[in-house]
Amino acid sequence: MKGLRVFEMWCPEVEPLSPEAAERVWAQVVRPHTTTIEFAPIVTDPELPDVSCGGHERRGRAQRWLPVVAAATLIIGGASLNLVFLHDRPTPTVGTSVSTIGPVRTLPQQAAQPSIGEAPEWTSFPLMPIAPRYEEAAVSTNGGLFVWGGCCSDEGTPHADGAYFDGREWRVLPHAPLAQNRGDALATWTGAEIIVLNGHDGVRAASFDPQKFEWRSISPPTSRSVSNADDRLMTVDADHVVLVSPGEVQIYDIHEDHWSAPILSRNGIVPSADNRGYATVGSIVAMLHAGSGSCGDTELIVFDTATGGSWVHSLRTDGGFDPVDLAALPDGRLLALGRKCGAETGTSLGVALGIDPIAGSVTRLANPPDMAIIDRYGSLTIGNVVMYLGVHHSALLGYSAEDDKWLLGAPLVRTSSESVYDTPLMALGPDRVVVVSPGYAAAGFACCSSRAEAWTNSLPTVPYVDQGTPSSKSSDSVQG
Amino acid sequence: MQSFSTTEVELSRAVERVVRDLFVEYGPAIHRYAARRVGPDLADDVLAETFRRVLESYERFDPTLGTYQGWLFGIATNVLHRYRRTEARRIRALARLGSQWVPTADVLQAPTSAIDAERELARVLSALEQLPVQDVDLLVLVAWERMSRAEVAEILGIPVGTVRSRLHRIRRVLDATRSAGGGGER
Repeated sequence: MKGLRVFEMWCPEVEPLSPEAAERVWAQVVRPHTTTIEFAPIVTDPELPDVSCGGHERRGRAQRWLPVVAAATLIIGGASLNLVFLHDRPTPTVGTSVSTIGPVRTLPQQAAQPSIGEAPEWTSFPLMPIAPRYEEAAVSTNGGLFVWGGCCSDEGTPHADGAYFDGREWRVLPHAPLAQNRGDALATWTGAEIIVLNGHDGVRAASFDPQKFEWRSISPPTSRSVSNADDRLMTVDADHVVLVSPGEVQIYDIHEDHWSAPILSRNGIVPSADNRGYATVGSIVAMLHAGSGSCGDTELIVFDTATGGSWVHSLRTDGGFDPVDLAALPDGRLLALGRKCGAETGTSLGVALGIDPIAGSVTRLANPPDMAIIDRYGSLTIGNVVMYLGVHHSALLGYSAEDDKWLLGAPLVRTSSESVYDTPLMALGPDRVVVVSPGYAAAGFACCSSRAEAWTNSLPTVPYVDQGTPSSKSSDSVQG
Repeated sequence: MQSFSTTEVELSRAVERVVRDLFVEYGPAIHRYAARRVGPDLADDVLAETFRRVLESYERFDPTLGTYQGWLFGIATNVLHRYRRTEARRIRALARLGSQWVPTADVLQAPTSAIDAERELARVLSALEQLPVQDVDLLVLVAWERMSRAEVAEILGIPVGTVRSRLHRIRRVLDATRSAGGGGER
């Protein structure tokens, strides 16, 4: 057995917190306060038993909304507080009477932040004729959407099927000549076909033609395995596709049906781990690498598929830059998204850099909101807006290169209080995005439907206002 | 004599009510997390200290930047660092009690005898003590609390990619310890 598995199985069983113990602990929490507020006894929801080792806890809907309901039931007074009502936050309101006096704090004044709720909402897209899934391969074509693979059936078997949306309806794909035991496939749209790779201990490769609605097998790369967590398949031009994997790059000639030998691995320029993001700009393939592993030691590794040249830019900023993702900007620069080293949860310490991949010059872009994003698939660019999907509230996050501004979209309606993971964004036309089959990280994401769901929205619209965090632009210098 | 405005006091009460609701919702999970790491007695203290800090910092939490679960587990993890030595002693003690370890169904189904499993466990635990505290945090959240990488990233305040790479390193350390002890891949 692997060491991690041994550790998992050794998980100590513990007694759940009893209502009496909970009351005792709560009394310790509020001891400095001379409160007279009457509380109901703490009772653990009987439908939500304490999780045992190896299980996974899911909170019930009613429990999740407890703080919101509690806040809403407080009596609203007439005091003029400068509170900002943030999305999904149980903001305390002011009561009308005071019975005791205890230590109090004054709420900090905050800059006005537009509400995400002002953004256009997501709308339901036709259900897909396949089972719900996550970690699937999904790409947009010219007006179409392609989805294949993903995880998993109730028995844990990866999905080896898919569907194609042709602009009017979803159609189930024919059987694919791909590995049937590996769901996390890679896919890229070449302009005429969708090339898909998957497999473990042997990679399979196939191309799907949406016009003919059929698959054909193509030559596989030499890699032993690929997964969309670690590798990226990207179209460079009408003739070439590039596969970037830990430690190597391979180029596929579409017309010759031929993969190059692994490039760059001989001189060790492509690191074997800690690649955080990939992007292509023209013939250039760029990789954002976390360096030695110490936060702030980030490198941009660049490879020109046209000339075979390669080089490395070191990215150092005051406060450090812990990279998250890399995207191409419409002006030929790269957008490196990350956060300051040592950032604490709940604090806004996002960092965005604009990088010239050839010269290596770096400019600090507007500070992004420090949202956790789904980085498995990278970003989606439509027009001048580079978009990411947030993990927790599933809100769209967009960077408008035109005016150096971050934009927020509405959270997914169905999942506003849930977490969505590893679900790709796709483009539908010039101004719409689609999320397919939102998969929850916890087991049982397919709670509500036996078919895969899809949602659509317009581009994010609400400007994000940076509220003077420690990562303010003026305080940092950048070295490229 | 210090005086407080009516509004301030009422606001303080309102915050307390909301934090109380968070305590009801997340307290049992935080307590379980702490109990697994430092034992049930200290878990009460960890839980109390965690929510004291929550009460003090509630206004600074921005839910658009993270979830309550991530925020609360993050605070609890920081509080647990205070008990690092206790945790290490607990791990050593539990390792000595290896014979009392009840194998799960997975172990019984695996082609590994209970004795082998105990030996492997002892080696893994010895490696655990050598890990930096941040890696132990990550390992416990992934292996025991069954958190996803994204959830762990939020709790520890690091990118998901960092979670992946750290977990990769931890796997290597644990596997290497096992190999050094004579265990092989099964």
